Amino acid sequence: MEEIEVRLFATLQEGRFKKTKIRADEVRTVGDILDHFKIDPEEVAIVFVNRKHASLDTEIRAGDTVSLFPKVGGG
Amino acid sequence: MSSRHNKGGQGSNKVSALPRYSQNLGILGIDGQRKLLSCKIIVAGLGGLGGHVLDISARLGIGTIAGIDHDVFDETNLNRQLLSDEPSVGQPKALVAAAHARAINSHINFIPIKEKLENVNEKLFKGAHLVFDCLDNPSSRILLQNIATRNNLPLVHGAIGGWYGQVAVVWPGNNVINTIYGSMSKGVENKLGNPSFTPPVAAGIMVSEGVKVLLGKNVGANLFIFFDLLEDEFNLLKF
Repeated sequence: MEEIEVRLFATLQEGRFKKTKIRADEVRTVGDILDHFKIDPEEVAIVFVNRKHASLDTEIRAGDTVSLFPKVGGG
Repeated sequence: MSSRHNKGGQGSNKVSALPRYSQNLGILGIDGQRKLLSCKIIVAGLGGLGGHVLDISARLGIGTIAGIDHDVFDETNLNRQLLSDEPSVGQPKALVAAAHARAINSHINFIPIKEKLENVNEKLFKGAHLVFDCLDNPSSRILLQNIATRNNLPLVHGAIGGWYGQVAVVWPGNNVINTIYGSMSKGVENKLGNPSFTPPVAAGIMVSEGVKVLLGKNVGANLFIFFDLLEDEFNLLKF
C-alpha cells in the first residue's frame, strides 16, 4: 500500500500520536492531513514535507513524510 | 570595540597570549578568535534566552555585543533567567546585563539598550554581523526579522516552551518568522511555562550556529532545529 508518514511534534502529540501512516490516496495536500486527523490549523505553526519547509497547500504523494510543529514562542 | 582590540597586529599577539581564550582556540584557531573579537552582534531580548546568549557570547569573546531589552526583572524570572537574582528584581535587564558582561569579560564592548525594539534607532544595526532573536512576542520577532532583512543581516532565531525549543538560522530575505508567528494562536509556553533547563539548551545551539555564520564554517541553507527534551529528540530540517 502506498502511504504517507505523518509526524507530530511536542504538544500536537497530546491525545493523538507521535508518528503514523495514512494511505496516499486519502489526502492530496498537507491541509487534508489536518482535516483527516481533526487538527486545527491554528495549532500548527510550521510544516515540513521531507525535511523541507512547506505549507498547508503543499501537495503530497506516496513516500512523503509530513512533520507538523506547534507554535513555540517563549524567550 | 574596546581600545584593546583596535591595535591591529599587536591585538593578534595578545589574543594568542590571553589565557581567557586558550580553551577556545582548539575549535576557533587564532584567526577565528580574532575574527570573533572583530564582530558585532545584536542580542534582542535579555530574558531566558538572551541572558544565556549574552553570557556565552561574552565568554567566547565576540568583540561587540549590543543587548536590547526595555524591561526590568521580576520574581517570575528567577526560575530561569541567568542574569536575574534576588537583588536584581526591579532592575533594568539591559543594565544588569552590562554589569554581567563587564564582570565576565572586560575585553569586549557591551552596548546596553533599554528600549522597546520599535523605539531602537536602526543605526545600531549598521556594521553588525549577526542578529539573535531572543524575544518573547510575535510582533517583535516579525519586526526584528524585517530589520535584519533591511540591513542584510543573518538572524539566529530561538524560542522555548516547556520541554521544547527551536532554533532557526534565517538568511536575509527569508520570511520564515512571519510564517511561524503570523497567526494569532498562542505558543505552547502559555500552557507549559518555561523551566530552567530549556533556555540554556536553546541558547547554546543558537550561539554555536551563530559562530558558524560569523566564521563562515559549515553554514548551510536556512536551518530549523527543533528539540524535545522530554523524548530526547533533536530534529534538523531546512526551509
